[in-house]
Amino acid sequence: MYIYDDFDETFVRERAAQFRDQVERRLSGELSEEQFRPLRLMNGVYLQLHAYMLRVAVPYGTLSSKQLRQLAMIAKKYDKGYGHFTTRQNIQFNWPKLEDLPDILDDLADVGMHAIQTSGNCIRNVTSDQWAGVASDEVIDPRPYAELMRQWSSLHPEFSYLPRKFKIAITGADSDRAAIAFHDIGLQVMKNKTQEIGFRVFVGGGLGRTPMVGKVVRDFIGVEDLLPYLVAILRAYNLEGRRDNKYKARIKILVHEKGIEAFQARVEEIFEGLDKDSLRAQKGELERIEAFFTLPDYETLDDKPASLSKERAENSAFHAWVMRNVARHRQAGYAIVNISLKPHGGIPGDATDEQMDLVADLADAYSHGEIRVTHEQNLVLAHVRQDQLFELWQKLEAAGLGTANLGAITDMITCPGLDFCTLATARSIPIAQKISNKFSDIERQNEIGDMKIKISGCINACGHHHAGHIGILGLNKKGEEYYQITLGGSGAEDAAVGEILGPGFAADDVAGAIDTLVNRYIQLRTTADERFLDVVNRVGLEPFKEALYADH
Amino acid sequence: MAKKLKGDQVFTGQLLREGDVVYLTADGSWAPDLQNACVATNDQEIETLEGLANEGVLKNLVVDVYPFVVVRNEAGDLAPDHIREKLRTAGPSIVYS
Ligand code: SF4
Repeated sequence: MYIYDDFDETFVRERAAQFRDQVERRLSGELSEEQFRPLRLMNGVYLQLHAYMLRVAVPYGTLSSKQLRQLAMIAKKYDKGYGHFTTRQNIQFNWPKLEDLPDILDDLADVGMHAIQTSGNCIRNVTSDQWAGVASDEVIDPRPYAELMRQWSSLHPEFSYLPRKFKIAITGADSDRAAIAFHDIGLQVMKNKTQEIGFRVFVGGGLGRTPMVGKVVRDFIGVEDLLPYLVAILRAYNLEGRRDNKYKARIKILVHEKGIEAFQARVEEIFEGLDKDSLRAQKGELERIEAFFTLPDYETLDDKPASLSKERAENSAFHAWVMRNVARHRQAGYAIVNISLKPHGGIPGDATDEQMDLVADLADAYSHGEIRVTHEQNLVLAHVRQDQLFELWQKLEAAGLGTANLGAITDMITCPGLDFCTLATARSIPIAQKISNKFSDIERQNEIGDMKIKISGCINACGHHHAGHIGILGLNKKGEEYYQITLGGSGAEDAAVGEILGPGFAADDVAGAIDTLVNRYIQLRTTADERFLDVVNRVGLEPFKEALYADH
Repeated sequence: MAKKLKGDQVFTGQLLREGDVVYLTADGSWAPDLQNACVATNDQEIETLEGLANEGVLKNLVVDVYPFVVVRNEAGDLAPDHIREKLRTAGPSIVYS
């Protein structure tokens, strides 16, 4: 993985030192809250419902074991012994004290981490496919480009005060595991007909109160022109994006109001006028970055070793875990291990300091010391030998990290909601817990098959509810929480915004409503392989509405 | 803004240094327990409390200060009226660490 050079190292240290000074001046009263708030936000420090919250950037979701251990240390020393992994592949600490934050930033800097650009109207952490580099369906490893964009977008002078925040996601595979169509810019690394590497560029995707699927603004842009082309898009947005209304300030609104053709024409016009040479990555820079992302020295191993078949035959819980949580690796004899952070009845995305320490140790022992965070709030060990899966699983299982539910109904994306978030209108976590408990039986989950439930505690949609096969949005009516259900959304390559089913449900009735929907789906599906989403797309909402509201 | 709320009110904020939720008491100090909060029952009392609350802001003790409506529950204890304040007072409704 990428290791900071002196420039990054110095820059992060300097920022931590500046923040220490800013906190001191705030505590002494030299700075008022109005003066301090933007400074703390630039360093990822929010004030939430019960405490400050620190959001730490995990560039494209990749962590070293050393970094994860440091995060565990921070959770233990300064917080309440846990961290929360987010849909932006970042980690949040929910309970730090302001007076401790300078020390925390120093501790982060010690392992090449920081919280810069995790807030504010700038280019946020670039996110990517958690299986990058090892996925069997990958065309090109997107990580070097993600790193190039991280460097380019860090403290970019022109793009530090955009009309609104700006999110970029990149994938290099046919299956979209990075939800690129729901980002301000989505990039798909690909090869064109002449085998040249480049990017398909999507623009104007997003969730929130106006969900939109991104549109293709360029079918192909060569590697060399990636940065100039991004500059052209961002410049068009920076100049023309609305600043008069926060709710209309994202690029999706500009693209929508202008129309994709007109927006495209504007971008091309700017692009043509750029001094591209001055904006391209320096010669040799991409190669320098790529050298950090070469794959580990894999051993020559048998694919599907006999020992694994035996262990699976002898242990049904292990077999169930392999079926759901282990994905095909591009290298024979290796596997991608997905660690679910969705224990039944637990809090989606939370990990205790002990669990983080354990995962760091397991990464060292089994996966070349590297961990990935997924936008679905799980963790990944990307380079595990198939003949070591059983041993690894036993250790995960013993620490409550062996839940065999990846991609199943209980593997829900859930935002913090009203239990933590100042913007929330309703709680999300308890809803996820009730659903998780209702469907905790693994056999039932497997019978239901692939299912993505996503829950947000307000219209801001951090829980990606619009992109859920079943989406749940928490609202508030006359002081009571209630929940609106949408069907048919997808954050994958078949990206779609879910449609509202009908009147909302009280908190206690949501899990029952999901059960009704699932039962109806099982009646409607023609084969066991027909996913919930496929059935919704085939039959529409009516049969589900009937099932839910017939008695109302 | 304070005067638009209907009902008895208390002032809340968060400690600058720690971030903890606190409530304004009658002597202008800030207490972690809602039961120690000073309740304003008319416009004039609200104004007085608002002045005290702002002093806390100026002294850099608290941030994000605002009033909210409270009621008395059956046991006679102060309780927030709105779900958001209920959660803020009681802490997260889930076992989180
Ligand atoms: S969706 Fe709303 S409640 Fe959930 S984290 Fe985002 S802002 Fe908070």
